[in-house]
Amino acid sequence: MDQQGQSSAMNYGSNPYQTNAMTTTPTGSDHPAYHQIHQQQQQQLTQQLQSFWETQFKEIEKTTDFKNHSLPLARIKKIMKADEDVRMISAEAPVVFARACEMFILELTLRSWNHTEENKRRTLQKNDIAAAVTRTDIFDFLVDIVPREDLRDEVLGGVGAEAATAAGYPYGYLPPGTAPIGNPGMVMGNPGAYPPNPYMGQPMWQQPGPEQQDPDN
Amino acid sequence: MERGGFHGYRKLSVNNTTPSPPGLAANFLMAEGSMRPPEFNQPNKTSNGGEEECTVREQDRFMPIANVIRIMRRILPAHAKISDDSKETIQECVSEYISFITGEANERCQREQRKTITAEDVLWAMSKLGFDDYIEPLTLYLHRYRELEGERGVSCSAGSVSMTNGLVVKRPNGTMTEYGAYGPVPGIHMAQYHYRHQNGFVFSGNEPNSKMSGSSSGASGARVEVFPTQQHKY
Repeated sequence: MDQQGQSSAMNYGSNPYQTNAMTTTPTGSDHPAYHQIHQQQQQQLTQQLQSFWETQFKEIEKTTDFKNHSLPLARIKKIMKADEDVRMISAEAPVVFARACEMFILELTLRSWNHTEENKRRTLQKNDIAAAVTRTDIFDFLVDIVPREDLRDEVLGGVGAEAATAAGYPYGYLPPGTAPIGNPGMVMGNPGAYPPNPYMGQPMWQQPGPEQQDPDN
Repeated sequence: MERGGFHGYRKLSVNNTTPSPPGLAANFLMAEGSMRPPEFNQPNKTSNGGEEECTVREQDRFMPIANVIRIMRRILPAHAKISDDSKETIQECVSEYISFITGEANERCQREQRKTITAEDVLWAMSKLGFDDYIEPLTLYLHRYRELEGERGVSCSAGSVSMTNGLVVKRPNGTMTEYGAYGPVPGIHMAQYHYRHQNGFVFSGNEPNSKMSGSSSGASGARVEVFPTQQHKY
């Protein structure tokens, strides 16, 4: 849908990732094979996500039944009220949350599956979710739910120290004062000519983990 | 950091303390126990508390796993398998997502001295926390929900006298009929919501929430004003 496309473009245009990507491009070219594989994988994911959001909008346009939700409203309300500071909740809030959580599950699953495929597996595992969380800014709030051990296993099992150091270098650069809009934290863009999707930014402290898998594929 | 203020992260500390699943469950139970006294002691909470079960079960902490798996499978290829630990992890992530967004939405409510978290507060919180792609589809969803359910809501309101009536209807319902319980409630809340919008946007000052119903045409006008403003945010 054109509108969605424009929206995405606007989001990207206002995102600091662009600067990061331009800055890191020269360094990325030092690893042509790795760069190409990574670029293709991320491009595929970006296309899948774009298609996903377009599909979401179209599905909602066709929605006529608002009584049968994918997730129970009562449960959503209980989780909201687990926070003792929360007092009253309008009836519409759980309705919106039901749809939002559905989209959240779909997006997180899609990003996780991308990592499963990178590793040539067919079973979605916890470390795939960990990888998706580390690669996506807006999922920063989940870092403590997905233990770092899952990432350490990846690093230890997948890459040697020397390769890790070499491959990690392009991601080591972090422009001072750069932060994603609406989500505080340290983030940098991906290397390469292909413009990075805002969601492709990765938290600095966890970057080496998931990326090290690629050279072995 | 801004994140430090979120209530959701208080839960995270509980998770950190005990990484293993059994420990996690124990901590949730402890946390739940510690939360009960404040609820019973506060008059405002009491009325809300009456709507909820006295005993909060462990499973109420997460979305039903069958629902979660069904949604996951919609975007995965047919040959994909999902490990049990990743199913549980997604469950935890969803609860964390709800708490994360709710915490931000609630802080906005408190700053504006309102007591009720609205759908707009939820959308605002998502935008603030970086979930920009979610805003457009959810805004459309909310619009359509009001178009379709709002009409039924109005007729329901005509048939019912007050909020109290709605709440009374709601209480006797068990788990199996929870969906039915939401039938009349949206209408009543919608009426309340419409009035609040007039207060919130037509008039300059922040006024306390009122249970009186506003005219539907007025509310409609208010809604038109609201969303262009929201859309500007991203």
